[in-house]
Amino acid sequence: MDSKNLGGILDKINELRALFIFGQRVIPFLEELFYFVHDIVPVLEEINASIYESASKMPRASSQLNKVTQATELATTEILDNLDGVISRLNTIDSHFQTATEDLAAIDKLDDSLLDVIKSSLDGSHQEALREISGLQERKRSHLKAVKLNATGLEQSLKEIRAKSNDIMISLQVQDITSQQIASVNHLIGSVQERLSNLIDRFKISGAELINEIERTDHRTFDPNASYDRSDERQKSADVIVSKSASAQGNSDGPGKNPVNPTSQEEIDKLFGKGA
Amino acid sequence: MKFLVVDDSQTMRRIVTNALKGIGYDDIIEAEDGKDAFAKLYIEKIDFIITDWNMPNMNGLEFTKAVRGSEEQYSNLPILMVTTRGMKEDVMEALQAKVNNYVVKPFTPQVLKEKIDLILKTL
Repeated sequence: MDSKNLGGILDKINELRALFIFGQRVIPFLEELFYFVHDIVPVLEEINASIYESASKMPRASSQLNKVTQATELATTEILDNLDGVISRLNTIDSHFQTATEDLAAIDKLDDSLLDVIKSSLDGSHQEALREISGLQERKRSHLKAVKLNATGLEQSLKEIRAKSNDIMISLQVQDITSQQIASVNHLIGSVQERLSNLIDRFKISGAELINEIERTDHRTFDPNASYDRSDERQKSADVIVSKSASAQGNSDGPGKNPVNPTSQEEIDKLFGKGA
Repeated sequence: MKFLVVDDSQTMRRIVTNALKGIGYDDIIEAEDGKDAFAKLYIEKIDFIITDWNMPNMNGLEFTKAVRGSEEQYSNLPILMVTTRGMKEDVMEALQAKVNNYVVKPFTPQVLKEKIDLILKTL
């Protein structure tokens, strides 16, 4: 064995020594890694189970939301039925009220005519009785005045009830708006469930095939930005656009004219400035 | 004057119908989407259309385009869009589809009357 070979052996021994030193350093880390993996497995299993559980609960949540929409629609229909009943009764009361007012005026007129007949028949005699009749007539008039005053108050109350009924009807538009919001949330739940299902498929979680598909409510299109805003700001903004569009078409009378010549996108962009 | 009220929401159809009756229009028929409405155009003699935007099968925008692109006797029918969509882009899109005017939900009968009167005045 020459010195060259001996040098090579020493190099190899050095390499082995370095490897052992590295191993000594790495082993604790490997041990830590082993314990980490050991600990993380149950956590991962828990996460998987949780994903599966969440995904499997989504169809139920979605179905419950659909039931909310159905229930509110049913309740709204009942309220509208009742409102129709109230408005119908109000119309009847209005009509009776009108007739009663006219009858009272007619009675008053008839009483005047009766007094005239009595006066002319008595031909100046029975002045005392005539004065008494006139006094009674005056008292009756003051009662009539009070009745008319009450009637005016009653008429005002009827108007207010009618206005309130109309207000309730306007408020019921909230049902359509909330059902669109619910449809939007349902759509979102559907998308999340789809992604979770894909994830479950990828990790082959047992029982994953049992997850029901969310009942698709996409048949009901919706406005994701639908909101119940009773201020007239949005209507005013729409009016401005409609009005400017009409002006751009050279239709000063309003937007209704000539719907077959609409404003082009370029014209609209010119009006508002692109990206405004 | 015969109105055609198009909305997939039964509640909204009823509210619009009641509002129309309240302002003096009693001759009203209803359709639950654009497709249903378009079929009814050929059966009934319609004078005025009030349509929602978001509907299944054929939405209000598609319906408006279909009406405007149809035979002459229907293509000039007045169309009022009544919708929850209140963004500037929505109004513009509806105008480009050739609606006559635009109402944002929730609306009052007064606003509805104002828009109908305006459309009828300018026809």
